[in-house]
Amino acid sequence: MPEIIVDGKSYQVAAGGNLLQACQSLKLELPYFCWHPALNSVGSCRQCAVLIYQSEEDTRGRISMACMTAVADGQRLSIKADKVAKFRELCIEATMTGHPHDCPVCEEAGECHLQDMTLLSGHINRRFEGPKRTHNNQYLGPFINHEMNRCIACYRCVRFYRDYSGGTDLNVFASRNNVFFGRAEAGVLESEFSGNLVEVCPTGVFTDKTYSQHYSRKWDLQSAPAICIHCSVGCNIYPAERNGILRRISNRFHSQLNGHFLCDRGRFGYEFVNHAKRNEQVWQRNQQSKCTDQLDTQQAFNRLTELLATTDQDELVAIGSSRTSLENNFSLQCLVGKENFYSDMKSVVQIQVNQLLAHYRQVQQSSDLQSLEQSDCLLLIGEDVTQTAPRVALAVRQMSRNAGIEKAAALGIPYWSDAEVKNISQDLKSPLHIISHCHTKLDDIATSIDTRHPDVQLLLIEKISHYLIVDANISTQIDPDNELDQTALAISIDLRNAQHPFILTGIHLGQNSAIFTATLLLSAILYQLNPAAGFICTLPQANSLGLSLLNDGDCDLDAALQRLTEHKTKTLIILETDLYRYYSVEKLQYLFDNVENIIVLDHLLTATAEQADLLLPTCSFAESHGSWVNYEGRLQGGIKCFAASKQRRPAYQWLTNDTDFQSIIKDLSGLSDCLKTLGSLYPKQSGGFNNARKSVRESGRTALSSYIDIKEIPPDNDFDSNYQHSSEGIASHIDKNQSPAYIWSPNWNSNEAVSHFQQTDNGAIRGAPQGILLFDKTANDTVFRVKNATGEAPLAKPPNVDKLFKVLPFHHIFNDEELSSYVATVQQLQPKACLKLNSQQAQSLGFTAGEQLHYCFVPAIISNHDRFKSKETQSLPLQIDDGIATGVILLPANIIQQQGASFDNWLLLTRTSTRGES
Amino acid sequence: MKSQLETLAKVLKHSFSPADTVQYPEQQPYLSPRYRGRIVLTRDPDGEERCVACNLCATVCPVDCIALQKTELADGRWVAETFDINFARCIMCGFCEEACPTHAIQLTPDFEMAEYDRQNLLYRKEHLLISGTGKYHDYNFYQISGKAIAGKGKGEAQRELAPVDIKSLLP
Ligand code: SF4
Ligand code: SF4
Ligand code: SF4
Ligand code: SF4
Ligand code: FES
Repeated sequence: MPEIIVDGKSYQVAAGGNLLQACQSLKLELPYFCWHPALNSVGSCRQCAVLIYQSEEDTRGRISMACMTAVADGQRLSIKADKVAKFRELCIEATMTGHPHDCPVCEEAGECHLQDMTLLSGHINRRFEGPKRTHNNQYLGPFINHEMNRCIACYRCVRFYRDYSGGTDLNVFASRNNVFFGRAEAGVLESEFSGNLVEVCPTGVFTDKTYSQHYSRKWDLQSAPAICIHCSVGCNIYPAERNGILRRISNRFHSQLNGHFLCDRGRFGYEFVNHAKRNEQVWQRNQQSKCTDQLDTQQAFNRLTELLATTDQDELVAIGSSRTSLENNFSLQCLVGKENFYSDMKSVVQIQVNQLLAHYRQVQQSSDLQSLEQSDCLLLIGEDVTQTAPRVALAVRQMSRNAGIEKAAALGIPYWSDAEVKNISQDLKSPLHIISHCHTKLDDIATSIDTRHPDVQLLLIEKISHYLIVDANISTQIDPDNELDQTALAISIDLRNAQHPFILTGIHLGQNSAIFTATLLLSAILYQLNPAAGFICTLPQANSLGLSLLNDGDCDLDAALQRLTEHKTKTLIILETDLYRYYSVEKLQYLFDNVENIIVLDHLLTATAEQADLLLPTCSFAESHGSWVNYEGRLQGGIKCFAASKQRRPAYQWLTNDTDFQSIIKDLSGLSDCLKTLGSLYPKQSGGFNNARKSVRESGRTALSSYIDIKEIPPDNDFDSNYQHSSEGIASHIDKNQSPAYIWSPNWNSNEAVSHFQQTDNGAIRGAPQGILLFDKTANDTVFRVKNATGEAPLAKPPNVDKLFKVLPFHHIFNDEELSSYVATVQQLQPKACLKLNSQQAQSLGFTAGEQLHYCFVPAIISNHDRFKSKETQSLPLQIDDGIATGVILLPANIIQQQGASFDNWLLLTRTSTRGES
Repeated sequence: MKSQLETLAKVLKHSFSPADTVQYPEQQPYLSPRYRGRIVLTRDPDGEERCVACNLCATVCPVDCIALQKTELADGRWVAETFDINFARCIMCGFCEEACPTHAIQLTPDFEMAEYDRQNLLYRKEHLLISGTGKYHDYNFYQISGKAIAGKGKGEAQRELAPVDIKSLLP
């Protein structure tokens, strides 16, 4: 470990980094703008200047940029020397000459890195009397606000947007101090990661528009460490609330998952918590008076007990939820018994999830995103991760930059010297092979793209496995004319040659079971060849894996529906799931009509909740503690951010007659060996001081609720965790043993303060649990109550191939997930529903783009589950898209999910005018 | 003994000097304009609300008796949607006035705020907002700030250049 001497004191620092990183890890206060822990150095802002001395005798030193100077053993430098302090102050003074007088009306104020650095550098008086340059702003969509006057030209935005996340529509225009950062034309930002500009930009140029709509200064927000519930990655987030309104979501650093960045669904999909359709009261349908009665909480508990007491065990069915916490599902399962508890996944999905569980247990653990970013060859099979688990796609983009970084390293250029690495790597990319049925947003960085019919995909994957098993020299025996063989061989050679090859796939409704099985097999083979091989499989929802662990393999949603149709059911309990997303109205109506009591627990008035005879209002993720199992089997705990209003209470409380959270997790942790340490996610000390969820500067304490009653209302209690709903208690930057409730450190008001919470440079946050890896080799028993996986579904053959198309879904970041779809701003960006075919197929059938076409699902296997299959045809406009394999038709994922069959789907197309012809 | 008599004499002498007490409320004492009494929210010289809901007054208030919520008008102007001061808590320290970057919040020489019902000590925006500029007549924040509002586009505030033409090729 090299030793450096800063202002006369010597420190041990990590080798290979630059001086700014070293100072950051030592928590020394050195200002910076253009450097970013994930974007590295370009040395353009001149803020991080330090004085470097040649030797002990050198007293003059020379000014150097810390972010551009490699750490060397015995290096002497000064941060505090007058000369360099003055230099930094002058730099910032020059930067500020054009800065507007905006702080009072700037959303960034109070967490502005520019404010922080200006104060840190000591520049407090404006001397410049001349005029300021100004810019016109652009409309950038419903999420991001643009106020270009505030720009200090640090270039972080374009470096993040273009280089890091692969966006193309944000750029820099004009020159010198006139530079403009925006789009060529006003319009919605296209990147799925545009929200990160809010945090990446050190000023108020890019701010969160949704937050501005119900704005509150950062110091007034109440927050707690939570988990994003919008996809299966389980990114770490900080929800922030004031006065009962969830104001925004910001990033919470997790070194192995999301790092510094979130996707837009996670960042802007939160407003379902404030939605007008949120449930706050208990409602009961009154059959006599034909209206709905409101019950008080005690009555509701009594009614629930009464309904359950009068229902026989075999007349009781409960459906759990993959979008709610493990605790809620567990409580429901305990209440109704294992045999009556079903998951909310259709069997095609459930079977694959069970297969995945078996794979995790018996073959190979899954990998985190950090190791994906370090991989040097990736094979992506059949999953449009940019749309289904967007944060994974961002990691894939980092993986593709590794070849360039390696090339630079060979020339002696360190990875952090961003501009040089970029220059050296040019178009060089690490191999990324994509096998899919349609084009995806990752195509721009792919080495090979195989857009194929599923049957061909299967063949290709099997061939790759084959070439991995047999010796690579076999290439001599390959038929040079067989294109598929060539592709398979090329991919297998890349996988073989890589040090950390990766397989990335996903489970969704359109995922073909045979392909999925083949992919698992391929990954297993690769893993045997190379133990450093990684594997990631994304899942449909935030807790799909958690629910599947609790639930028995065959108790899926289709099974639940079958039971409802075949056996008399008196009481049906539905936990936080909207069945109308999975089945058609007619089908569900028939079922609902035959059930006497429908009890729904949900925090939103979903279509299913509207059918309830007894509706119990639950809490969203922000109002309740809860654990989630992400795609890799990482169990993470979310701490509740604010107390629920009115009659809302966590589902686990409704279902366990008000049992407290700590007792629930105690019961839950007894289920399996791998859950033993569950309690460590929710430490609860008795006595002593708790951590404050609010900052010490919180304002308005004696006035906020005065309009209700001028006597102050006491703060809410939280008896289940070490955090309290108040600004009293230990501030997060002081308590080193707790996950911080918010990121703030003296002098560092912005999220850049995160470095003050990291153990090492860019390392984990001290005190914050990293989550429990359930399938870790050290856990000898990972079985909750689950039987082994039931095996795979057969690859169905179509009844008549000519007139039918294989239906596969197209996903969209703002379309697929249930909760974010309630949010008005998200809805604005949802694509119009359509059918997609390639032009060749459309032409041969005589269809033209934009034409309204009738379609009708034709199930390949007529199973019992599809008894209620809608015979009705629906219609959608046709869109031509040449990135789609022949024989395949694309439909929005949510439509397939609702109207399609359980297994393979085939579609019959008819023209609106001339019915009956295809 | 001597000092005791002297003291007695001094006390008696005061019986003949004029009283300091005034016949309040018939007679009103003089309070200087910078007296720290009842708080008002003022308007700028154009008659628009000065408060931009920046929250600085609320933050600096030592007893935390100000609570407000920002909202935005159609033209982008920030204003307070609600603005509450709990005068049951206010200690008339004047910190809020000092912190206010727009001269919106000002203390006035009025202290007659007694109420029978404590709830009435909550002053909401409609109780606080006056129609004049208060003590500071000329200051107009939006004419200095870079944010565009109706009637003042980009580059039209004091000491601003016209917006950059990003399509120009000139260096
Ligand atoms: S960017 Fe920062 S310094 Fe500039 S106006 Fe906004 S808060 Fe103030
Ligand atoms: S817009 Fe923000 S991130 Fe981009 S250059 Fe300007 S200050 Fe830096
Ligand atoms: S005068 Fe002092 S106590 Fe009263 S509102 Fe202003 S800052 Fe608060
Ligand atoms: S400090 Fe002034 S402008 Fe800011 S919220 Fe208070 S009164 Fe309004
Ligand atoms: S941070 Fe070093 S020059 Fe900008």
